[in-house]
Amino acid sequence: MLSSVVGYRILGRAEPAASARTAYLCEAPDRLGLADQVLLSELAGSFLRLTEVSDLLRQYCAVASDHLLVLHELLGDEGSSSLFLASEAPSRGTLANATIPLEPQAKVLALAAAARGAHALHEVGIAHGTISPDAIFLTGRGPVLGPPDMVRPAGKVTTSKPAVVLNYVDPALLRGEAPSRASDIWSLGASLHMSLSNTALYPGLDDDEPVIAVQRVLYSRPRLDPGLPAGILDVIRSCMASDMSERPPTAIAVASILEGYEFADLSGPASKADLAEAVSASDQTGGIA
Amino acid sequence: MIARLEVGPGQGVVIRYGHVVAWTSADASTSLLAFLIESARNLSGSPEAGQILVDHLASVLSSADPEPQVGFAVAGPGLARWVSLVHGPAQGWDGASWTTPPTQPGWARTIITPSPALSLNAAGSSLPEGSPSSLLDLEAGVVPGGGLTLWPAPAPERLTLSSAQSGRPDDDQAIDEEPTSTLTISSPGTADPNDFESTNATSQEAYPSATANREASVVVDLRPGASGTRRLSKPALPLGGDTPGAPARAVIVDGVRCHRGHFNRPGMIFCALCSSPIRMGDELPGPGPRPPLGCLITSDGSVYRLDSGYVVGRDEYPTSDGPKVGAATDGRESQDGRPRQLPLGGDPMRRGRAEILLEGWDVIVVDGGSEVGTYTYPPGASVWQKMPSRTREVVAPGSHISFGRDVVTYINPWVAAASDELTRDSTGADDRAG
Ligand SMILES: [Zn+2]
Repeated sequence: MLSSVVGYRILGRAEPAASARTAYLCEAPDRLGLADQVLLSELAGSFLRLTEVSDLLRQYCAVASDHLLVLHELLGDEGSSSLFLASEAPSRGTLANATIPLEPQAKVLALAAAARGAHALHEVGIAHGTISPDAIFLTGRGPVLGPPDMVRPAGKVTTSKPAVVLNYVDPALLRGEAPSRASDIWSLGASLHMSLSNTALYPGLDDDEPVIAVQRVLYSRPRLDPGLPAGILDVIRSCMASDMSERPPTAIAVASILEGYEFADLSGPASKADLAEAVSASDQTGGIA
Repeated sequence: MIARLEVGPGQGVVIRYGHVVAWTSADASTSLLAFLIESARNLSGSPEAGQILVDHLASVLSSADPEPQVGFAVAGPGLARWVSLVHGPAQGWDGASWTTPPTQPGWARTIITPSPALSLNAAGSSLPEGSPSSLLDLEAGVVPGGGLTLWPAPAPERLTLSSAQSGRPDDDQAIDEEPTSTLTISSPGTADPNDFESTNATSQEAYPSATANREASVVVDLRPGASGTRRLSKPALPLGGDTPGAPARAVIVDGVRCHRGHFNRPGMIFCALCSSPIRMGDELPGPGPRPPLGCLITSDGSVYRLDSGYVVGRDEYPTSDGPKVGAATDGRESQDGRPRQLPLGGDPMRRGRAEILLEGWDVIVVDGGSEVGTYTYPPGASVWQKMPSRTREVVAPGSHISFGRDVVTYINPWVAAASDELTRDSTGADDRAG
């Protein structure tokens, strides 16, 4: 019976973020001096890459922002094909798999927080490259952006299996461009659309074979849901402009617009403070396992 | 999805790759023709190629129509039925109704049901005299013709890309195979399907065995203030549409610019970045930094960007014959000067690694002389072609490339190069000097 992994006592399984193989909710080891549970994510990088990955993660950890996931430790075991990342546990899951119902207003503010996190990374030269609702964690202190995929091989853009991942990928990355402010802003716009609408950005994409899926995103334009509020559609349209120079210049500009947006029907939490409250309110009911 | 395609007599050009067909009148510019050819080639494998191409054309034509007087038409399978786009003095006939574009905007797209056939040709001309019993058939290519008639296959085909099949292309069994309604492009490698499955699958184990109930041998403290954490000295990312981290030693190639200044491959009629038209003749090709050349898609669905060349094969456990840092040519160097590896699902290729290089606007595959060999499968091909050992080859966009058990597909947005030779001649030197 398995009770621990790399010295972390397992309390239950958790939904792994996009770049993780598996994830566990664990008890924090004494050395961390934390009362809270921690999230332990298994990353697909071998022990031989520990130094390289820890260098990248340290750069992320050195970024001063309240809108990024707090990381605690990177762990490796000789001979293992995995690395383990201990981080703060998102008590309410991710924007893709929230454990509480989220009103549209709360989703918009979660995207705004992720945009602020992305901006903080951009300002120190880091492009995230894999922003999606999977990478937006709902913690007790509010929504935050998780770390970029640090274990991907050099030059890898994304995966096309499953094709659903491509919904968030700027076609510029499929043309071979490196991730940038503009490509992260595209992903924020796509995440906003996918969070608020039930209609597909690329109809048929989810069932595509990988090569077809890449071609679909590269050669067609996403179809925006005309049923979304006009103000939201404007933000998404500008974030997903095919000409990068027509997108908002910074992610913080996206955050500002979203934070100022109010749905006509205010049935959900309306402010950041309310959202943080909503997210942390039912912390007692037990994690995301 | 196409059982047979018959070319009609007269002036113009007929194009077919896979399930995509097109006809243009004789006055189409070389750029338009090249655009249609490359689009058809790039999309030839898609079961919804028609939908993608028609949507793309419609979005391009909605912003500007560079050649309104030219008749052309494209058709192919859509999400559920056939779709076509007919432009200028051209017409379509599906056995029940005509498609002719209105004066404004000068083109029309329709969903069609060939009953029993679909014809595309010049407006006002008589129908190509196709016959269901004829043996004339264009399987793939670009030929002169005044129109086309296609008969769809009765049952829908589904094209799948699978590298888990065995059998080399020159095996006898490949020739003897009965044609089926499913076209499968399979790797010429000899992988056992189960083997492949196991080497590619991400860990689905409930718990990782190596680390279960054991302490980690290395723990890196990532908390603020821990040794090693420090503020970055890297500059902020450039704003807006600037290309991040523009390579210090950009490769200079000849290209043309759209009116917004985007640098495109010579001969392109529409900008690959913003879809705005590029008028030929307004500007001669001039030098500029080469943009990335698209992406590679591996068997496991990973997408790698072509802003650098690659050495093929996994090198996570470095071997003595691995690539030497700094020893690569420009074509396979990433921006930090190290040759990138294309990690594939199969065994590491310890000897005779193949390489993928960027030269001018072209992507080149170099066979490294390994035992398994390198095979290519260009768009429209029906068999894998084995590269002679230790040779190099320009790869057409849309091609599949096989290295042993792994298949890689090359996708390139820079379609339609009308002046390919010019480009190649003028860029070789720049590559070396770059
Ligand atoms: Zn342009």
